[in-house]
Amino acid sequence: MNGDTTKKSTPYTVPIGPVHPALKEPVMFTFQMEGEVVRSVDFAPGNTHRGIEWMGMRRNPVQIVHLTDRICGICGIVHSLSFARAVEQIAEIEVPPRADYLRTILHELERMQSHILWAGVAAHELGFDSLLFLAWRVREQSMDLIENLTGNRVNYGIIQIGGVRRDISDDQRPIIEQGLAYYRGLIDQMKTVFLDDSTIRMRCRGHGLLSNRDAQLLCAIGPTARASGVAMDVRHDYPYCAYGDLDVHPVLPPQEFGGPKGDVYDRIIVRLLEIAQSIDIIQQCLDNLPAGEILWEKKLPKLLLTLKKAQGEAIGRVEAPRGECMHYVRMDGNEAPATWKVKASSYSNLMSWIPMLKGEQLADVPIIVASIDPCMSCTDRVTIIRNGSAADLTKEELTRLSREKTRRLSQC
Amino acid sequence: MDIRFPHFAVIAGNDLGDEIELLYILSVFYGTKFGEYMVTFGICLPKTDLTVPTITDLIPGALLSEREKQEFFGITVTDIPDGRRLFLPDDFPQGVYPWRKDETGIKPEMVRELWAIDRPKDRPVPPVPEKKPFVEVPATEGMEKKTGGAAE
Repeated sequence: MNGDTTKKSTPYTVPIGPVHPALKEPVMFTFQMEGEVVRSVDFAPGNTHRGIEWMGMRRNPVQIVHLTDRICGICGIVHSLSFARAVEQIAEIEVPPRADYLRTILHELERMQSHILWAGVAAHELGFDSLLFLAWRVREQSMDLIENLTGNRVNYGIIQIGGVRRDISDDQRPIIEQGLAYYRGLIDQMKTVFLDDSTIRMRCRGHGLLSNRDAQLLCAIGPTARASGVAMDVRHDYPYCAYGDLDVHPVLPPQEFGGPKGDVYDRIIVRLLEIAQSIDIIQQCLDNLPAGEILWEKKLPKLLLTLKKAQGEAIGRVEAPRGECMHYVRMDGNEAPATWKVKASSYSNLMSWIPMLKGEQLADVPIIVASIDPCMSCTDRVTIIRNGSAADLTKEELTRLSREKTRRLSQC
Repeated sequence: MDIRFPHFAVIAGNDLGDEIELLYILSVFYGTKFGEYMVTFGICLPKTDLTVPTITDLIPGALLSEREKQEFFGITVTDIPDGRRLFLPDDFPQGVYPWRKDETGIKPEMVRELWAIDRPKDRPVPPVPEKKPFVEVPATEGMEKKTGGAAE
């Protein structure tokens, strides 16, 4: 396959990307292949680097909050939330309890839509397109709910330093309850569709293995680490917002599925169970929602004046759908922060691709790459146009390979 | 208490003028409720000698972060297993470090102010005429009535 265009002696070099088979975002892969087996892998992110941190260091924190919304198209809350939390710690701003609960509700809704989106993408990579459409249709309910609460489907613009910008009215509560009931009724069905399907099990069980030790050494986080048995979840270990009051546990692959093995299948299990967990958390928040203010200070000039005086450094951490998201901010009494460093969740997870892909077949690459739910725009964050690198395998060709493997497996 | 392998998050950095401060942000005791601690090690490198040994022999996952600091702060990480650029493209000028605040930072001529850029001149005329610049018309009583009527 493509032997005439690549090096003829082993190992073959197969470049894939930067426009990617598994993702809708660019990252360049170079595989050293021996026959059908991946021997080593190298990747180069950076194709969506936009210099957001540089831009932020020339703006005031209230402007940056809206910039953080645009770091990622899917995680609209996590970046603004962790930035806001870092700044709140520096300026010693206390967030009202109601705002903490509202933040938690939106944060969990975002996790639900992100995990369902991922489930659809995973189904697509396996060649199971009807499941992709079903999953994304189910996702619409959470998107509608987010739109109802924030006014936007993406780039919510809901977080403000010191609280949130919109309250949940009494009329909106039944709409949220309705949405939760909808997902509660679906979760068992989703588990059956994804976990009891023999084809999905064949394609995912035992593929893309990441051992517990490797997950720790390579600093994996979020569902990727939890699927390998590393019990870590910022919501549980280092609670923020309302999570300290709630019942939250890191979700590990349960014993009924054989405990954590660290393969693609385990990552599907963890994400599906986390959807169920999110429903539960939102319900707990709704039941205990305190009354009161939603902002520390409504008047922006007063807020900006406080922030201008603030000095110090802090870290804001939240558990994004893909794992820990961290913002380091240092303010030195100027309008703009002196330093702003964004550590997105995929930034920590990318290294796990190397052990996962080693020894796998080329047709398994799309699902394994997608299994960590990588988000390149979060990781890159800065702009660059690169000369077109030669891509011998097109996206279609690789997806076709992956589908043929599914078909092959289901025939035998 | 059992000490687990620390979780390495990221290396953050500050340009403090004469020196560059690197902050190695780690967390320990994760996995226990309320039990996690953040540990940050800070080191200051004078701008005359910007070298720091790698920590990838202890924590292999720190590689991406070290590569990023090399290109964004112009420091040299000794014994780094892979010293290539990470995010910056190959044609990005050498000797320019985006997060530095001295003369090696981003130069003003490298910044393209998007608001100041007009429509490209070498394109065909758009099928729909371009909008005229917005001119604020002082609201009069008659206009208010008119818009009110349309809404009904």
